[in-house]
Amino acid sequence: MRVSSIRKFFGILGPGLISAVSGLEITNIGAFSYVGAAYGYKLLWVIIFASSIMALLQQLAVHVSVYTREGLVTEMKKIVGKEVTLLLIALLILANIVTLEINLIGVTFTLQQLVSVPWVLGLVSISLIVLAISLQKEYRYLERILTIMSLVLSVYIVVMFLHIIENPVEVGEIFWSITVPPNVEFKELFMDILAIFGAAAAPYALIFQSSSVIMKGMRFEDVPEEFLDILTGLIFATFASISIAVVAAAYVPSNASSIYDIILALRALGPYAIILFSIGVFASSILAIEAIILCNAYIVYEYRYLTLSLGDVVRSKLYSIVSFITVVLSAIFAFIHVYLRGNSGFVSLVKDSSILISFTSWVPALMIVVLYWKIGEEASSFVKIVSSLIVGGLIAINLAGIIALIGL
Amino acid sequence: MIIDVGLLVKVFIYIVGGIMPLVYNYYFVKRKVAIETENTKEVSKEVTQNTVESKPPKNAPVEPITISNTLSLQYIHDQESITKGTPTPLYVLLVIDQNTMNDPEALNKVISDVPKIVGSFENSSAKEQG
Repeated sequence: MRVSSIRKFFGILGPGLISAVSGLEITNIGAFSYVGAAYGYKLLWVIIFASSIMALLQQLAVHVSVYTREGLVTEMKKIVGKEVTLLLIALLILANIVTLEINLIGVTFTLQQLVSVPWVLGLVSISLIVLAISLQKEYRYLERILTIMSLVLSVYIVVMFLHIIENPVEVGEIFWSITVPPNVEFKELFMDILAIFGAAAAPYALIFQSSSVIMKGMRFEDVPEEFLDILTGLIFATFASISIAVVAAAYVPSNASSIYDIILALRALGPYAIILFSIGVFASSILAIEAIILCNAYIVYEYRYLTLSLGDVVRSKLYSIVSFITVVLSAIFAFIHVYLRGNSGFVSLVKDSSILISFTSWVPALMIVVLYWKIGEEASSFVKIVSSLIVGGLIAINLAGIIALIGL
Repeated sequence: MIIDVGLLVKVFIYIVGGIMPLVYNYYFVKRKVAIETENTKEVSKEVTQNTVESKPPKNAPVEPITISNTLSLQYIHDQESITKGTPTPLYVLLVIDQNTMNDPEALNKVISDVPKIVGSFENSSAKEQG
């Protein structure tokens, strides 16, 4: 292999791995650890399937934004009117608040596990810290530090390799489970499959994908390269997610409930496991929380002022108001959620939140697919049909989930 | 040999609904970009071939260009707006230097070449759409 090829390989590997690992937050770690512990390798294919759908929606968000040169909210207002758009963005904000809430709980419980801080005190402290960071407005330096800190979560990949070296026969089993969906009773696992979809969805990521395209002034000829980046990101993110499920299948008890049980996945690292887990979860969750706050402010601002610049949003007074409301609501949700669930453990909380996120994950997906149909001949007919079926399927399974949840 | 139809359906949905559209979409856009780049090259070539050069008159002073007025020629060409389905006007912007402006013969040639360039552009667009 030539030196330039090696450089090119590491040029892709580095940023891909960094974005995949720093993109892992407590929702992914909790949900994938749970499915790995409870079902072994049986649901690995769902993680790949859900991540692929998410990546396709990201591609469509890029294509649509390059073509329309306007944000998703602005375009939707033109198509479905102000009132329907308001309803859609309310659902999107709800999904973001639920994601933020479970991240607050995750960091709080990890802190409790590490230094025995009462969870109420932990929750209030973490909420105040994230609010202070977001009101600071300029936190690029901190963002870099947190991204570097979140890289310790790559220990999941290391532990997976250690496990595979010790048990080489399992490579075939993992590969087979990923390639061919194993026979499972869908009715029994329905809610857990929804939880995986919710964990993989990250609705806020689609909004950022669209805004970054517009802000960068991306041209149509740059789109294939962006698609390639999305594909690379998908490979690395899936690899990181699969590694969590695999190590959980190996080391986490099948009836896992607490955050301690989830940390057991890293038991191969001995006393360092809890420290590395805490650092990684703290950093990646704070990054996710700040991104979610910004996303909420962005969509509210775009709905009111038709902006295209994140800079305008951050400088506005509305940003501070939305940040404050988002954090306060999330903290209240977190209190209520933990109180209602009593002592049932962190895993139940993650499952609840992932299912709730899944219920609203179809909103940005629907917005993007509607806009993709509007760009006419520029869009592929095959992708139009497949993406419509995907969104239709998402809406149908989430409706079925809501019906099952309320016991109809 | 018994074929597990349920498993085949699952694998089909898994591939067609998951990985395939992603990869297909990448190649679809890549092909579109390649076609667009090729068309742009052809049009640029056409424009270059029809560039008119004129010699500057001796001792003529060179003055900066000031656009004092604009004139747009509306042409109902064959490309339809994707949003409204209505014909879109094609605007042609001629950049003419001062020397050509002062040379009636050269100026006449520039203007008379416009329909040829537009025709060539529209032919390539029609080929792409066809």
